[in-house]
Amino acid sequence: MSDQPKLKLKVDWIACNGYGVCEASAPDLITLDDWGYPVLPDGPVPHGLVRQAENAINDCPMLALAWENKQAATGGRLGRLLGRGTARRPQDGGHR
Amino acid sequence: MGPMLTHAPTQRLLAGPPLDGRAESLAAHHRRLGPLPALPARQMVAALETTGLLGRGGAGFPVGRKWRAISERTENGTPVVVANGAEGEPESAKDRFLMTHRPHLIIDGAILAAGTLGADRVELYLGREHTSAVRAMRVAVSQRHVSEQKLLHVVEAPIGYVAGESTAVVHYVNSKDARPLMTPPRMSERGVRNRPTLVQNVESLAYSALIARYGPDWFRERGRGNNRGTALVTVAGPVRNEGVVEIDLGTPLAEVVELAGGLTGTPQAVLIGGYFGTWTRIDSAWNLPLDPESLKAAGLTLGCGLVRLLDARACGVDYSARIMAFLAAGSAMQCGPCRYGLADLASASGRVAAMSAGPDDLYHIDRWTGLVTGRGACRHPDGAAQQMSTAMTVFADDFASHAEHRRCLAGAHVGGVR
Repeated sequence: MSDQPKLKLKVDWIACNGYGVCEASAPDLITLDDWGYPVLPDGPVPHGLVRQAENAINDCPMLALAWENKQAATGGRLGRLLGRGTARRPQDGGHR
Repeated sequence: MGPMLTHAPTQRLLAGPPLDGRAESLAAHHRRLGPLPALPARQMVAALETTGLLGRGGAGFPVGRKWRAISERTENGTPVVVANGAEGEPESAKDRFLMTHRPHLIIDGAILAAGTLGADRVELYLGREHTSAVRAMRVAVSQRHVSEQKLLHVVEAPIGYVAGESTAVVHYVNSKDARPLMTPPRMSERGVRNRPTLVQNVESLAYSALIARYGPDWFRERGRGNNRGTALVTVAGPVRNEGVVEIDLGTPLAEVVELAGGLTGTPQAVLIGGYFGTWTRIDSAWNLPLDPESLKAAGLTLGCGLVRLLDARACGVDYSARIMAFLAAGSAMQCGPCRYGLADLASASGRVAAMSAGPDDLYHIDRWTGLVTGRGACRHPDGAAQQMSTAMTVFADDFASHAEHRRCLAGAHVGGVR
Protein backbone atom coordinates (compact mmCIF):
# COMPACT_ATOMS: atom_id res chain seq x y z
CA MET A 1 0.00 0.00 0.00
CA SER A 2 2.85 2.40 0.70
CA ASP A 3 3.70 2.66 -3.00
CA GLN A 4 0.12 3.67 -3.81
CA PRO A 5 -0.34 7.14 -5.21
CA LYS A 6 -2.98 9.26 -3.54
CA LEU A 7 -6.42 7.79 -4.16
CA LYS A 8 -9.21 10.27 -4.70
CA LEU A 9 -12.85 9.59 -5.44
CA LYS A 10 -14.89 11.33 -8.10
CA VAL A 11 -18.59 11.39 -8.90
CA ASP A 12 -20.11 11.42 -12.37
CA TRP A 13 -22.75 14.00 -11.51
CA ILE A 14 -24.82 13.33 -14.61
CA ALA A 15 -25.02 9.61 -13.82
CA CYS A 16 -25.61 10.02 -10.07
CA ASN A 17 -29.28 9.76 -9.11
CA GLY A 18 -28.81 10.35 -5.41
CA TYR A 19 -29.81 6.86 -4.25
CA GLY A 20 -27.39 7.21 -1.36
CA VAL A 21 -26.05 3.66 -1.53
CA CYS A 22 -22.51 5.00 -1.36
CA GLU A 23 -23.15 6.55 2.05
CA ALA A 24 -24.39 3.21 3.37
CA SER A 25 -21.36 1.43 1.90
CA ALA A 26 -18.82 3.97 3.11
CA PRO A 27 -20.36 5.66 6.15
CA ASP A 28 -17.01 6.93 7.47
CA LEU A 29 -16.13 8.51 4.14
CA ILE A 30 -19.24 9.77 2.38
CA THR A 31 -22.09 11.92 3.65
CA LEU A 32 -25.17 13.05 1.78
CA ASP A 33 -26.11 16.67 1.13
CA ASP A 34 -29.54 18.24 1.65
CA TRP A 35 -30.72 16.74 -1.62
CA GLY A 36 -29.36 13.22 -1.12
CA TYR A 37 -26.24 13.55 -3.26
CA PRO A 38 -22.84 12.42 -2.00
CA VAL A 39 -20.36 14.78 -0.37
CA LEU A 40 -16.88 13.35 -0.79
CA PRO A 41 -13.92 14.01 1.48
CA ASP A 42 -11.55 16.76 0.41
CA GLY A 43 -8.32 15.22 -0.72
CA PRO A 44 -7.25 11.59 -0.88
CA VAL A 45 -9.04 8.73 0.84
CA PRO A 46 -7.18 7.72 4.02
CA HIS A 47 -5.57 4.28 3.72
CA GLY A 48 -7.78 2.80 6.38
CA LEU A 49 -10.90 3.70 4.40
CA VAL A 50 -9.83 2.46 0.97
CA ARG A 51 -11.86 -0.75 1.43
CA GLN A 52 -14.98 1.28 2.25
CA ALA A 53 -14.36 3.40 -0.83
CA GLU A 54 -13.99 0.31 -3.01
CA ASN A 55 -17.25 -1.03 -1.63
CA ALA A 56 -19.02 2.24 -2.37
CA ILE A 57 -17.66 2.25 -5.93
CA ASN A 58 -18.81 -1.29 -6.56
CA ASP A 59 -22.20 -0.86 -4.88
CA CYS A 60 -23.27 2.24 -6.81
CA PRO A 61 -26.23 1.22 -8.94
CA MET A 62 -25.54 4.02 -11.42
CA LEU A 63 -21.78 3.31 -11.73
CA ALA A 64 -21.36 6.97 -10.90
CA LEU A 65 -18.56 6.67 -8.36
CA ALA A 66 -14.97 5.97 -9.39
CA TRP A 67 -11.38 6.61 -8.51
CA GLU A 68 -10.20 9.88 -9.94
CA ASN A 69 -6.86 8.29 -10.75
CA LYS A 70 -8.00 5.16 -12.55
CA GLN A 71 -4.51 3.86 -13.03
CA ALA A 72 -3.85 3.92 -9.33
CA ALA A 73 -7.06 2.05 -8.66
CA THR A 74 -6.84 -0.67 -11.28
CA GLY A 75 -3.17 -1.24 -10.51
CA GLY A 76 -3.81 -1.30 -6.77
CA ARG A 77 -2.98 -4.42 -4.81
CA LEU A 78 -6.23 -4.21 -2.88
CA GLY A 79 -8.26 -4.00 -6.04
CA ARG A 80 -6.62 -7.16 -7.38
CA LEU A 81 -7.06 -8.98 -4.09
CA LEU A 82 -10.74 -8.17 -4.15
CA GLY A 83 -10.96 -9.13 -7.79
CA ARG A 84 -12.37 -5.72 -8.47
CA GLY A 85 -11.27 -2.83 -10.54
CA THR A 86 -12.74 0.25 -12.04
CA ALA A 87 -11.68 -0.53 -15.59
CA ARG A 88 -15.14 -1.62 -16.63
CA ARG A 89 -16.59 1.70 -15.66
CA PRO A 90 -17.57 3.67 -18.78
CA GLN A 91 -16.01 7.09 -19.22
CA ASP A 92 -19.33 8.77 -19.77
CA GLY A 93 -21.16 7.21 -16.87
CA GLY A 94 -24.78 6.60 -17.60
CA HIS A 95 -25.10 9.37 -20.10
CA ARG A 96 -26.28 8.55 -23.58
CA MET B 1 -21.20 64.00 -27.36
CA GLY B 2 -22.86 61.67 -29.87
CA PRO B 3 -22.95 57.96 -29.37
CA MET B 4 -20.43 57.26 -32.13
CA LEU B 5 -17.76 59.35 -30.44
CA THR B 6 -18.02 57.24 -27.31
CA HIS B 7 -16.48 54.35 -29.20
CA ALA B 8 -13.77 56.39 -30.85
CA PRO B 9 -10.69 56.03 -28.65
CA THR B 10 -9.97 52.34 -29.11
CA GLN B 11 -11.64 50.81 -32.07
CA ARG B 12 -10.08 47.72 -33.48
CA LEU B 13 -12.73 45.04 -33.53
CA LEU B 14 -15.35 47.75 -34.04
CA ALA B 15 -13.37 49.87 -36.50
CA GLY B 16 -14.97 50.48 -39.89
CA PRO B 17 -18.42 51.66 -40.95
CA PRO B 18 -20.97 53.07 -38.47
CA LEU B 19 -22.36 50.67 -35.88
CA ASP B 20 -25.94 51.28 -36.88
CA GLY B 21 -27.28 47.74 -37.00
CA ARG B 22 -26.06 47.03 -40.52
CA ALA B 23 -23.36 44.49 -41.30
CA GLU B 24 -20.18 45.39 -43.12
CA SER B 25 -20.34 43.76 -46.55
CA LEU B 26 -17.64 41.49 -47.90
CA ALA B 27 -16.57 44.15 -50.42
CA ALA B 28 -16.27 46.82 -47.73
CA HIS B 29 -14.48 44.38 -45.44
CA HIS B 30 -11.90 43.58 -48.14
CA ARG B 31 -11.45 47.25 -49.06
CA ARG B 32 -10.81 48.11 -45.43
CA LEU B 33 -8.64 45.20 -44.31
CA GLY B 34 -7.39 43.50 -47.45
CA PRO B 35 -7.24 39.76 -47.85
CA LEU B 36 -6.43 37.39 -45.02
CA PRO B 37 -2.71 36.64 -45.30
CA ALA B 38 -1.66 33.01 -45.65
CA LEU B 39 0.73 32.50 -42.76
CA PRO B 40 2.51 29.23 -41.99
CA ALA B 41 0.66 27.47 -39.17
CA ARG B 42 3.64 27.54 -36.84
CA GLN B 43 4.05 31.28 -37.30
CA MET B 44 0.36 31.95 -36.67
CA VAL B 45 0.26 29.92 -33.47
CA ALA B 46 3.45 31.59 -32.27
CA ALA B 47 1.98 35.02 -33.04
CA LEU B 48 -1.12 34.25 -30.97
CA GLU B 49 1.03 33.01 -28.10
CA THR B 50 3.13 36.18 -28.23
CA THR B 51 0.06 38.39 -27.95
CA GLY B 52 -1.13 36.68 -24.78
CA LEU B 53 -4.68 36.95 -26.14
CA LEU B 54 -7.14 35.31 -23.74
CA GLY B 55 -10.38 33.69 -24.88
CA ARG B 56 -13.36 36.03 -24.67
CA GLY B 57 -16.10 33.50 -24.02
CA GLY B 58 -15.83 33.83 -20.26
CA ALA B 59 -13.24 31.32 -19.12
CA GLY B 60 -10.27 33.36 -20.39
CA PHE B 61 -8.12 30.46 -21.59
CA PRO B 62 -5.06 31.53 -23.65
CA VAL B 63 -5.99 31.36 -27.33
CA GLY B 64 -2.48 30.49 -28.56
CA ARG B 65 -2.22 27.54 -26.19
CA LYS B 66 -5.57 26.22 -27.37
CA TRP B 67 -4.55 26.42 -31.03
CA ARG B 68 -1.18 24.82 -30.30
CA ALA B 69 -2.77 21.85 -28.53
CA ILE B 70 -4.76 21.06 -31.67
CA SER B 71 -2.06 21.92 -34.20
CA GLU B 72 0.24 19.39 -32.53
CA ARG B 73 -2.31 16.57 -32.56
CA THR B 74 -1.99 13.85 -35.13
CA GLU B 75 -4.62 11.40 -33.83
CA ASN B 76 -8.39 11.23 -34.21
CA GLY B 77 -8.57 12.62 -37.71
CA THR B 78 -8.97 16.04 -39.26
CA PRO B 79 -9.74 18.84 -36.79
CA VAL B 80 -12.98 20.84 -36.65
CA VAL B 81 -13.39 24.52 -35.74
CA VAL B 82 -16.45 25.76 -33.86
CA ALA B 83 -17.03 29.52 -33.76
CA ASN B 84 -19.05 29.95 -30.58
CA GLY B 85 -21.53 32.81 -30.88
CA ALA B 86 -24.19 31.40 -28.54
CA GLU B 87 -24.22 34.27 -26.09
CA GLY B 88 -26.48 32.92 -23.36
CA GLU B 89 -25.88 35.85 -21.01
CA PRO B 90 -29.10 37.86 -21.08
CA GLU B 91 -27.40 41.19 -20.35
CA SER B 92 -24.29 40.63 -22.43
CA ALA B 93 -24.54 41.84 -26.01
CA LYS B 94 -20.98 41.97 -27.28
CA ASP B 95 -20.97 38.73 -29.29
CA ARG B 96 -24.28 39.42 -31.04
CA PHE B 97 -23.17 43.05 -31.58
CA LEU B 98 -19.95 41.93 -33.26
CA MET B 99 -21.75 39.29 -35.38
CA THR B 100 -24.36 41.84 -36.44
CA HIS B 101 -21.82 44.48 -37.52
CA ARG B 102 -18.59 42.65 -38.40
CA PRO B 103 -19.57 39.13 -39.50
CA HIS B 104 -16.75 38.88 -42.04
CA LEU B 105 -14.09 39.56 -39.45
CA ILE B 106 -15.41 36.60 -37.43
CA ILE B 107 -15.61 34.40 -40.52
CA ASP B 108 -12.04 35.43 -41.39
CA GLY B 109 -10.98 34.25 -37.95
CA ALA B 110 -12.79 30.95 -38.32
CA ILE B 111 -11.25 30.35 -41.77
CA LEU B 112 -7.87 31.34 -40.38
CA ALA B 113 -8.24 28.84 -37.54
CA ALA B 114 -9.28 26.13 -39.98
CA GLY B 115 -6.29 26.84 -42.22
CA THR B 116 -3.87 26.97 -39.31
CA LEU B 117 -5.13 23.76 -37.71
CA GLY B 118 -5.78 21.86 -40.93
CA ALA B 119 -9.52 21.68 -40.23
CA ASP B 120 -11.91 20.81 -43.06
CA ARG B 121 -15.06 22.00 -41.33
CA VAL B 122 -16.18 25.17 -39.51
CA GLU B 123 -19.35 25.17 -37.44
CA LEU B 124 -20.73 28.66 -36.86
CA TYR B 125 -22.67 28.00 -33.65
CA LEU B 126 -25.13 30.86 -33.18
CA GLY B 127 -27.84 31.60 -30.63
CA ARG B 128 -31.19 31.11 -32.34
CA GLU B 129 -32.78 33.97 -30.36
CA HIS B 130 -30.31 36.55 -31.69
CA THR B 131 -32.08 36.91 -35.00
CA SER B 132 -30.20 39.92 -36.37
CA ALA B 133 -26.84 38.30 -35.60
CA VAL B 134 -27.93 35.04 -37.23
CA ARG B 135 -29.18 36.92 -40.29
CA ALA B 136 -25.94 38.89 -40.63
CA MET B 137 -23.83 35.75 -40.34
CA ARG B 138 -25.94 33.84 -42.87
CA VAL B 139 -25.77 36.71 -45.36
CA ALA B 140 -22.01 36.98 -44.81
CA VAL B 141 -21.54 33.27 -45.50
CA SER B 142 -23.54 33.63 -48.72
CA GLN B 143 -21.20 36.45 -49.84
CA ARG B 144 -18.17 34.21 -49.51
CA HIS B 145 -16.51 32.31 -52.32
CA VAL B 146 -18.01 28.87 -53.00
CA SER B 147 -14.84 27.16 -51.76
CA GLU B 148 -15.26 28.90 -48.41
CA GLN B 149 -18.98 28.29 -48.26
CA LYS B 150 -18.28 24.56 -48.43
CA LEU B 151 -16.21 24.92 -45.27
CA LEU B 152 -18.76 26.97 -43.31
CA HIS B 153 -21.82 25.45 -41.64
CA VAL B 154 -24.28 27.56 -39.67
CA VAL B 155 -25.75 25.78 -36.64
CA GLU B 156 -28.54 27.54 -34.79
CA ALA B 157 -28.27 26.71 -31.11
CA PRO B 158 -31.34 26.34 -28.92
CA ILE B 159 -32.14 29.08 -26.47
CA GLY B 160 -30.60 28.51 -23.09
CA TYR B 161 -27.97 29.71 -20.71
CA VAL B 162 -25.85 26.56 -20.78
CA ALA B 163 -26.17 25.97 -24.54
CA GLY B 164 -23.01 28.01 -25.08
CA GLU B 165 -20.94 26.01 -22.60
CA SER B 166 -18.22 24.38 -24.67
CA THR B 167 -19.07 20.72 -23.97
CA ALA B 168 -22.73 21.54 -24.61
CA VAL B 169 -21.73 23.12 -27.93
CA VAL B 170 -19.97 19.97 -29.06
CA HIS B 171 -22.80 17.81 -27.72
CA TYR B 172 -25.36 19.78 -29.73
CA VAL B 173 -23.35 19.74 -32.95
CA ASN B 174 -22.91 15.98 -32.55
CA SER B 175 -26.35 14.94 -31.37
CA LYS B 176 -28.69 17.95 -31.14
CA ASP B 177 -28.57 17.89 -27.34
CA ALA B 178 -27.27 21.19 -25.96
CA ARG B 179 -26.54 19.88 -22.47
CA PRO B 180 -23.05 19.75 -21.02
CA LEU B 181 -21.19 16.44 -20.87
CA MET B 182 -19.48 14.95 -17.84
CA THR B 183 -15.69 14.80 -17.98
CA PRO B 184 -15.43 14.49 -21.74
CA PRO B 185 -12.02 13.84 -23.14
CA ARG B 186 -10.29 17.11 -23.95
CA MET B 187 -12.00 18.68 -26.92
CA SER B 188 -8.59 19.33 -28.43
CA GLU B 189 -8.49 15.53 -28.67
CA ARG B 190 -12.09 14.49 -29.27
CA GLY B 191 -14.95 16.86 -29.91
CA VAL B 192 -17.19 17.21 -32.93
CA ARG B 193 -17.50 13.78 -34.60
CA ASN B 194 -14.80 12.62 -32.20
CA ARG B 195 -12.28 14.76 -34.03
CA PRO B 196 -9.91 17.30 -32.45
CA THR B 197 -12.05 20.42 -32.01
CA LEU B 198 -11.34 24.07 -31.40
CA VAL B 199 -14.30 25.75 -29.68
CA GLN B 200 -13.52 29.46 -29.78
CA ASN B 201 -15.62 32.49 -28.96
CA VAL B 202 -16.42 34.74 -31.95
CA GLU B 203 -14.64 37.78 -30.48
CA SER B 204 -11.45 35.75 -30.00
CA LEU B 205 -11.66 34.56 -33.63
CA ALA B 206 -12.21 38.10 -34.92
CA TYR B 207 -9.16 39.27 -33.00
CA SER B 208 -7.10 36.40 -34.41
CA ALA B 209 -7.97 37.61 -37.92
CA LEU B 210 -6.60 41.06 -37.05
CA ILE B 211 -3.45 39.60 -35.49
CA ALA B 212 -2.84 37.59 -38.68
CA ARG B 213 -2.90 40.87 -40.64
CA TYR B 214 -1.03 43.19 -38.30
CA GLY B 215 1.10 40.94 -36.08
CA PRO B 216 1.63 40.53 -32.35
CA ASP B 217 3.55 43.81 -31.93
CA TRP B 218 0.57 45.74 -33.24
CA PHE B 219 -1.68 43.83 -30.81
CA ARG B 220 0.50 44.83 -27.89
CA GLU B 221 0.44 48.54 -28.74
CA ARG B 222 -2.83 48.85 -26.87
CA GLY B 223 -3.78 48.01 -23.33
CA ARG B 224 -2.94 49.55 -19.99
CA GLY B 225 -0.86 48.31 -17.10
CA ASN B 226 0.41 44.81 -17.71
CA ASN B 227 -2.43 43.97 -20.02
CA ARG B 228 -2.26 44.05 -23.78
CA GLY B 229 -4.96 44.51 -26.35
CA THR B 230 -8.55 45.65 -26.30
CA ALA B 231 -11.78 43.89 -25.44
CA LEU B 232 -15.49 44.28 -26.00
CA VAL B 233 -17.53 44.92 -22.88
CA THR B 234 -21.26 45.44 -22.38
CA VAL B 235 -22.17 48.30 -20.07
CA ALA B 236 -25.64 48.15 -18.51
CA GLY B 237 -27.40 50.23 -15.87
CA PRO B 238 -27.64 53.98 -15.23
CA VAL B 239 -25.41 55.22 -18.09
CA ARG B 240 -26.31 57.39 -21.07
CA ASN B 241 -25.50 54.82 -23.79
CA GLU B 242 -26.08 51.32 -22.54
CA GLY B 243 -24.44 48.82 -24.84
CA VAL B 244 -21.17 47.54 -26.21
CA VAL B 245 -17.90 49.48 -26.05
CA GLU B 246 -14.38 48.46 -26.96
CA ILE B 247 -11.90 49.25 -24.21
CA ASP B 248 -8.18 49.01 -23.73
CA LEU B 249 -7.74 46.18 -21.25
CA GLY B 250 -6.84 47.73 -17.91
CA THR B 251 -9.13 50.76 -18.32
CA PRO B 252 -10.60 51.74 -14.94
CA LEU B 253 -14.33 51.27 -14.48
CA ALA B 254 -14.83 55.04 -14.13
CA GLU B 255 -13.48 55.59 -17.66
CA VAL B 256 -15.47 52.70 -19.07
CA VAL B 257 -18.59 54.37 -17.70
CA GLU B 258 -17.51 57.59 -19.47
CA LEU B 259 -17.12 55.64 -22.73
CA ALA B 260 -20.73 54.59 -22.27
CA GLY B 261 -21.76 58.23 -22.06
CA GLY B 262 -21.41 58.78 -18.32
CA LEU B 263 -23.73 58.19 -15.39
CA THR B 264 -27.40 59.07 -15.42
CA GLY B 265 -28.01 57.84 -11.89
CA THR B 266 -26.22 56.90 -8.70
CA PRO B 267 -24.90 53.36 -8.77
CA GLN B 268 -24.43 51.48 -5.49
CA ALA B 269 -22.75 48.34 -6.83
CA VAL B 270 -21.56 46.66 -9.99
CA LEU B 271 -21.83 43.10 -11.27
CA ILE B 272 -18.78 42.31 -13.37
CA GLY B 273 -18.47 39.26 -15.62
CA GLY B 274 -22.07 38.24 -16.22
CA TYR B 275 -24.61 36.25 -14.22
CA PHE B 276 -21.74 33.95 -13.17
CA GLY B 277 -19.81 37.04 -12.14
CA THR B 278 -19.06 38.96 -8.99
CA TRP B 279 -20.69 41.90 -7.22
CA THR B 280 -18.60 44.73 -5.81
CA ARG B 281 -19.49 47.95 -4.03
CA ILE B 282 -19.21 50.85 -6.43
CA ASP B 283 -16.69 52.75 -4.28
CA SER B 284 -14.23 49.83 -4.28
CA ALA B 285 -14.77 49.15 -7.99
CA TRP B 286 -14.75 52.69 -9.35
CA ASN B 287 -10.99 52.93 -9.97
CA LEU B 288 -10.46 49.25 -10.56
CA PRO B 289 -8.77 48.44 -13.91
CA LEU B 290 -10.90 46.13 -16.02
CA ASP B 291 -8.64 43.31 -17.09
CA PRO B 292 -8.44 39.65 -16.10
CA GLU B 293 -5.38 39.99 -13.86
CA SER B 294 -6.42 43.05 -11.88
CA LEU B 295 -9.89 41.67 -11.37
CA LYS B 296 -8.58 38.30 -10.29
CA ALA B 297 -6.32 40.00 -7.75
CA ALA B 298 -9.42 41.71 -6.35
CA GLY B 299 -11.29 38.40 -6.19
CA LEU B 300 -13.38 39.28 -9.23
CA THR B 301 -13.67 38.06 -12.81
CA LEU B 302 -13.99 39.72 -16.21
CA GLY B 303 -15.94 36.72 -17.50
CA CYS B 304 -17.94 37.64 -20.60
CA GLY B 305 -17.21 41.34 -20.13
CA LEU B 306 -20.55 42.42 -18.66
CA VAL B 307 -20.39 45.56 -16.51
CA ARG B 308 -23.81 45.84 -14.83
CA LEU B 309 -24.20 48.91 -12.63
CA LEU B 310 -27.00 48.75 -10.07
CA ASP B 311 -28.67 52.02 -9.21
CA ALA B 312 -28.89 52.94 -5.53
CA ARG B 313 -32.68 53.01 -5.85
CA ALA B 314 -32.73 49.40 -7.04
CA CYS B 315 -32.74 46.49 -4.61
CA GLY B 316 -29.61 44.33 -4.75
CA VAL B 317 -31.36 41.53 -2.88
CA ASP B 318 -34.13 41.43 -5.43
CA TYR B 319 -31.74 41.72 -8.38
CA SER B 320 -29.49 38.89 -7.24
CA ALA B 321 -32.50 36.70 -6.37
CA ARG B 322 -33.89 37.21 -9.88
CA ILE B 323 -30.56 36.20 -11.40
CA MET B 324 -30.57 33.14 -9.13
CA ALA B 325 -34.06 32.22 -10.35
CA PHE B 326 -32.95 32.65 -13.96
CA LEU B 327 -29.89 30.45 -13.45
CA ALA B 328 -31.89 27.81 -11.57
CA ALA B 329 -34.32 27.63 -14.48
CA GLY B 330 -31.33 27.54 -16.84
CA SER B 331 -29.86 24.43 -15.25
CA ALA B 332 -29.61 21.54 -17.70
CA MET B 333 -31.22 19.49 -14.86
CA GLN B 334 -28.65 16.75 -15.26
CA CYS B 335 -26.76 16.96 -11.97
CA GLY B 336 -28.54 16.76 -8.61
CA PRO B 337 -26.73 19.51 -6.68
CA CYS B 338 -27.32 21.97 -9.56
CA ARG B 339 -30.90 20.93 -10.24
CA TYR B 340 -32.11 20.89 -6.64
CA GLY B 341 -29.54 23.18 -5.05
CA LEU B 342 -30.07 26.10 -7.41
CA ALA B 343 -33.84 25.66 -7.13
CA ASP B 344 -33.62 25.86 -3.33
CA LEU B 345 -31.26 28.83 -3.54
CA ALA B 346 -33.71 30.58 -5.86
CA SER B 347 -36.64 29.88 -3.54
CA ALA B 348 -34.83 31.02 -0.40
CA SER B 349 -33.39 34.17 -1.95
CA GLY B 350 -36.78 34.88 -3.53
CA ARG B 351 -38.41 34.71 -0.10
CA VAL B 352 -35.82 37.10 1.35
CA ALA B 353 -36.35 39.49 -1.55
CA ALA B 354 -40.12 39.36 -1.06
CA MET B 355 -39.86 40.06 2.71
CA SER B 356 -41.13 36.61 3.55
CA ALA B 357 -37.88 34.94 4.64
CA GLY B 358 -38.00 31.91 6.87
CA PRO B 359 -35.80 31.95 9.98
CA ASP B 360 -33.06 29.85 8.39
CA ASP B 361 -33.13 31.18 4.83
CA LEU B 362 -30.03 33.38 5.08
CA TYR B 363 -28.12 30.58 6.80
CA HIS B 364 -29.15 28.13 4.09
CA ILE B 365 -28.29 30.48 1.23
CA ASP B 366 -24.84 30.91 2.68
CA ARG B 367 -24.37 27.17 3.19
CA TRP B 368 -25.86 26.04 -0.12
CA THR B 369 -23.68 28.36 -2.22
CA GLY B 370 -20.70 26.47 -0.77
CA LEU B 371 -22.41 23.11 -1.17
CA VAL B 372 -23.23 23.33 -4.89
CA THR B 373 -19.80 24.63 -5.89
CA GLY B 374 -17.63 22.17 -7.81
CA ARG B 375 -20.33 19.50 -7.85
CA GLY B 376 -21.57 19.37 -11.44
CA ALA B 377 -20.54 18.29 -14.91
CA CYS B 378 -20.00 21.92 -15.88
CA ARG B 379 -19.44 25.07 -13.85
CA HIS B 380 -23.02 26.33 -13.98
CA PRO B 381 -23.59 25.77 -10.23
CA ASP B 382 -20.21 27.35 -9.43
CA GLY B 383 -21.06 30.49 -11.36
CA ALA B 384 -24.53 30.75 -9.90
CA ALA B 385 -23.13 30.37 -6.39
CA GLN B 386 -20.46 32.99 -7.03
CA GLN B 387 -23.03 35.59 -8.05
CA MET B 388 -25.16 34.80 -5.01
CA SER B 389 -22.40 34.72 -2.42
CA THR B 390 -20.84 37.99 -3.59
CA ALA B 391 -24.31 39.58 -3.53
CA MET B 392 -24.69 38.37 0.08
CA THR B 393 -21.44 40.17 0.94
CA VAL B 394 -22.01 43.39 -0.99
CA PHE B 395 -25.68 43.73 -0.01
CA ALA B 396 -25.18 42.25 3.47
CA ASP B 397 -27.10 45.01 5.30
CA ASP B 398 -29.95 44.81 2.85
CA PHE B 399 -30.19 41.01 3.07
CA ALA B 400 -30.27 41.26 6.87
CA SER B 401 -32.86 44.05 6.81
CA HIS B 402 -35.05 42.12 4.40
CA ALA B 403 -34.86 38.96 6.47
CA GLU B 404 -35.09 40.40 9.99
CA HIS B 405 -37.05 43.64 9.66
CA ARG B 406 -38.97 42.94 6.44
CA ARG B 407 -37.69 46.27 5.19
CA CYS B 408 -35.86 47.11 1.98
CA LEU B 409 -32.93 49.52 2.17
CA ALA B 410 -32.92 50.37 -1.55
CA GLY B 411 -32.56 54.10 -1.97
CA ALA B 412 -31.65 54.60 1.70
CA HIS B 413 -28.08 55.38 0.75
CA VAL B 414 -28.73 57.67 -2.20
CA GLY B 415 -26.33 60.55 -1.90
CA GLY B 416 -24.10 58.54 0.38
CA VAL B 417 -22.30 57.00 -2.53
CA ARG B 418 -20.82 58.55 -5.59
